[in-house]
Amino acid sequence: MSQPNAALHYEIHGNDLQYVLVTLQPGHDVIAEQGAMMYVDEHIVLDAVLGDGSASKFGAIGRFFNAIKRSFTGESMFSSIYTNQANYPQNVAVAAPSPGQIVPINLDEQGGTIICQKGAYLAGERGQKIQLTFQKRVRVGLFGGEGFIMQKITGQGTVFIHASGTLKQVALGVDDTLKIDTGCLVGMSSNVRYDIQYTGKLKTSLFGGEGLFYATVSGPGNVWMQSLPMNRLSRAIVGAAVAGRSKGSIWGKLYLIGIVVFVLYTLIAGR
Amino acid sequence: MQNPIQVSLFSSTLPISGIPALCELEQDALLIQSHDSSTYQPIHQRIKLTELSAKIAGFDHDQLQLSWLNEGAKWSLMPQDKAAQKALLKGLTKGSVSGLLQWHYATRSQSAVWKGILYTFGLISISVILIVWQHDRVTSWAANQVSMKTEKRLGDSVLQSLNPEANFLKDGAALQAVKAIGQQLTAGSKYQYQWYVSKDLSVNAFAIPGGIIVVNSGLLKKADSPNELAAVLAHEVQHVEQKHALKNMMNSAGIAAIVLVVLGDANAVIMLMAHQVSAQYFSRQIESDADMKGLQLLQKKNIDTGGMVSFFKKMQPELNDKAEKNTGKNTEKKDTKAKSEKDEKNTSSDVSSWFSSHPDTLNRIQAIERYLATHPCLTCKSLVWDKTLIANDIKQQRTADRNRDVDVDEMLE
Repeated sequence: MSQPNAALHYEIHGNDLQYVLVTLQPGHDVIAEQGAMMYVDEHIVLDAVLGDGSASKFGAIGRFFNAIKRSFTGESMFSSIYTNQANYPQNVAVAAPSPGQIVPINLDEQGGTIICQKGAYLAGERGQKIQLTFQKRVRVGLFGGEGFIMQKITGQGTVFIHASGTLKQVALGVDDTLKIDTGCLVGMSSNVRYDIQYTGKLKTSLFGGEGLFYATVSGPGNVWMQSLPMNRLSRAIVGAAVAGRSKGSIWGKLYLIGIVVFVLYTLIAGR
Repeated sequence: MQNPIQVSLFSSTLPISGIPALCELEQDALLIQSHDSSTYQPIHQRIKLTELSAKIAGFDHDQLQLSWLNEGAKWSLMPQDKAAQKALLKGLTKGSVSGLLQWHYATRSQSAVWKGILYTFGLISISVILIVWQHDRVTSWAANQVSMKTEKRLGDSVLQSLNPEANFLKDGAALQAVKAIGQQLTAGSKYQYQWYVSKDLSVNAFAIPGGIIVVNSGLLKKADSPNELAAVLAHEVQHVEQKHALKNMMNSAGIAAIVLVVLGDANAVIMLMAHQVSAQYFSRQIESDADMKGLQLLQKKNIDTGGMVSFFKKMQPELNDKAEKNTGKNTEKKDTKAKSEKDEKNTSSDVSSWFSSHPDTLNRIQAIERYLATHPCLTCKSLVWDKTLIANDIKQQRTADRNRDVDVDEMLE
């Protein structure tokens, strides 16, 4: 999985528990999320910077404020810069924090901006900005599965995003629409329209297991989806770990009993 | 003719993130030119406005997307920035492109939703502040909404719980004296008052909503003149007339509601604390209110007002005795601090008055005296009663009770 054409040379290793090996040219650097380092070569120097290391027109206070805003998007307030100080290429290995996949995205091919779910950012080239973006659509924020706060990554070059499960990229043409289970959306390019749609049937929404709404994304643009959202994974693990916990939801069965009682009652009362 | 507008052009044959293009508005058509001709064939398209359809696009649902069909392929464009979008929207009249009206409506309704949320939130907080600020007015308004019938039913149920058969005196000199003074005080009131004398020997009297007033036998014994009884009755009558019990209930309910709205969680401990604080604060307000209005009532009925001060002063030594006992205990333990005994006594008496159920009697006496100094009653007359008759009545009924109790005990044996 190497990208010889890209300015940043990297390889992604592993299947489900991945790490990305970035080869830095002399004097070049890469920024990664705090605590993501696996190993670095001898002449790599690590430096912690506030926020994403970019300047603010309000000076140090502005940078601090940006860092606080950034911490709301599931990242830490500080990030680490790895700089190659040798005069020959050096390696930096950055590991994913949880089972899942690392996806490299070239921002130049996406119009310079992508919007991701909270905590998706793993590493990237210097100069990229990780900002908070607020979901202005109330219903999407409430029922879209990603909440009101998402990450906006702007800049140039390659950025590595990470999410649990297997990641899938879909290129949506003009007016193409995908229905996605809420929570499975990882990211999209900024032109993509993100909305929700009612599942359409009460029966489906109660017993289909997908909730009341689908997320819908329509093109033009790229979307990235994950096969196993973190909350689903953790639910499965916790459910298996806690002894004596019933497998299915008891509420689903209670609904059924309620419906049966209601039908019987109407039959008897009808006579 | 307008300046070319910078847009992004999308199609299945173009890269997914679109290519920059220039678009010009004509009378009934859109002229699109792409200036990125190095990698792609130059694009020149002229689309009639009727062939276009407008859609909402972008993450924030505030971008305009115009789509059309050209040679079987779907094409669309989006303005590159806000300024470009404004220029494009300015050139397009609302009815000219299908879906543009809906686009305007949807983008506007989105901001309306947020404004609605903001205004609702602001309205709630303003009304909470207003209610807290004007809470006495709110509670009295709410208390006045309660009908007389409900008030009476409430009072009757309280009265039943006091077991009037066993605990109250039957008709006699004591009850007649209370009734006579009470009826003189409440002539012309919209309430129908009921008067009771309790067998309890502690010095107390209380009012129950709906016009039920209970005087303890202890208070009748303690009172030296009918003016003192009249003062106490006037005080209790004002509790009824001003609906103090109802206001207190409304106040507690209101505080519970405000805590619920502000914190969003009705934690029992917080509720209890809020209730305690408000009840203590409110009880002081109620008592001084009843004092002042009671005085006015006495003066209106031409009854001598000296009884209120003299009775309160009579209550004051008892409070002081209690305080002295408390300090006495403390000073015994702390012999070395004998010199500061006097100071300690003073502070302790203050503290005990602070916490007693009928708070700051001294302050109340002073307030009453201040009022009387400015509002003297020249036509007021003293009342008369036969104290021995009342005392005998109480004594007789109480001993009769005791004898009956003994009888019952013997029967049980």
